[in-house]
Amino acid sequence: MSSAVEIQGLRKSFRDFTLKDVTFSLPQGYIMGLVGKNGAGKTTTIRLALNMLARDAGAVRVLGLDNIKDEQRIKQDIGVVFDEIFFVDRWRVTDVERAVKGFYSRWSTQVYAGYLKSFGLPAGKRVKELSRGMKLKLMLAVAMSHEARLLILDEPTSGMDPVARDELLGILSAYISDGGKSVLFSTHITSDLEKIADFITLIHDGTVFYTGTKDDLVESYRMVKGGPRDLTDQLRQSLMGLERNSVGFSGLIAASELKHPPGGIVAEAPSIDDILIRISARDGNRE
Amino acid sequence: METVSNVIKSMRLDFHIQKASYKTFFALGYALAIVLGIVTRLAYTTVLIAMVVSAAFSGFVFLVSERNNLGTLYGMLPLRKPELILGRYLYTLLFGLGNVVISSLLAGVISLVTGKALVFLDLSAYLCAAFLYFCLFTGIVFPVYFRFGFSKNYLLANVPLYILYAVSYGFVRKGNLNGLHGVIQYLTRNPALIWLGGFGGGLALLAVSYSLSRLTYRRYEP
Repeated sequence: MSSAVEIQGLRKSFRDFTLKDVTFSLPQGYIMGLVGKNGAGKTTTIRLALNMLARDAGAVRVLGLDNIKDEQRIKQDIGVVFDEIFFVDRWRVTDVERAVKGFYSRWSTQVYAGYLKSFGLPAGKRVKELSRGMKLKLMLAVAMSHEARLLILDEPTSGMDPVARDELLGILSAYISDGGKSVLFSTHITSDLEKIADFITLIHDGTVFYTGTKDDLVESYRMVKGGPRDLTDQLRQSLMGLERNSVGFSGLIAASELKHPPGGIVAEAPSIDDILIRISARDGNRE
Repeated sequence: METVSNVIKSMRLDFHIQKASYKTFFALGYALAIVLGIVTRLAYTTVLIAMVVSAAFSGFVFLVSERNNLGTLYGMLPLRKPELILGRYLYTLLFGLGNVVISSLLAGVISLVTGKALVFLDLSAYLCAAFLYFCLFTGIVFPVYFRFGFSKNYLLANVPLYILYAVSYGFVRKGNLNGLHGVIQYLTRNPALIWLGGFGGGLALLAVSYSLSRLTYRRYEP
């Protein structure tokens, strides 16, 4: 299976943050969610992949090509959406097309017009007059009007209401339906990914905590709950994000470490949110 | 060929970025130039004012880019760093030359209104000086804006120009202009040198500035 994105040992150091040896691969034709709390390194990873930041070490291949050597070819084949719009606010929706279409050899005015219509974007409106949801749709229309084989979305749903988020997920599902297109989707709203992601890469403090299929992620961990007496020392050491109160405890544990759970303990499949919250809290268990 | 094509696309993008501000520029900048030309009854003033305003306006493409997060747009477009820089310089050069033409036409109209005929040699000298100023201004500020951005460095970028103004003022006050009498006479006898100095010198300044911008422009975010 060929990869839409392949990242190996990616490193980048800032004064107060380091991205450490990030490695993951997104197979073509699938949606990958890049998950992590704010400041975990999602945006840095995306900007490094787009060669908008200079990396310290590592390698990035996009659609089989080197992201620096073949940057121009790659950028013909990718569409990008960020959480903040990057068009001149005084441009009208039609001006956006005039400004960018020349850069793409496979730009289709018909496709762009089709997206404007289906997204309900008024062609004569100025960018600054659009709502946040409409701005997102405008970026999506641009990203999808030049036959991009890979869409990269960085926190596109932050600050959007659930209806607008659901609409976006529908658009993305439709976009990849031909099997040849892929989506790399960074978010901290994990419920979006429960619905559409095939693969998950979970980044915590600049390090990849997990990368693989969404199903494997959920199968790999268990949320355990029990009464105060069920929490043995051995169990305590294995739990991530342990929370204790007067009636008992809860925490996340690797499924492999829970072969023979003590009698009073309840173990259930975690949500991605559960995993994200517990691994974020593991350095400071709440007791 | 791909590079040439990308430079042209980059120039077009700059045009689109500044397009929305053109009405304001022409309405205010040229209104000021025309009014001062009529009030002073000196059509050449219009040329000078128009080019001074044009020079200041040319840097605003950096301001619009910064305010609208266009660094991200440049990051996602299939456009190389040298193509972006060359595109901006060529677009600015075209803008400057366009204003040379418009301001000289306006100077002709103002000379008709005021009844004071234009002298070709004088007009040439003013046009060349104005164009040279335009190139000097953009040539100094562009590398600063490319390297450090517009908003926080607007005043800093203009420091070399303030120094130049101060030195020129001091030069004129001390009566050194009398010493230039011979030079002016020589240029009057050889008007081609005025064009060469103004336009050739301006282009040379822009070429040096472009090289500096290419060397220092930090495309990557910090």
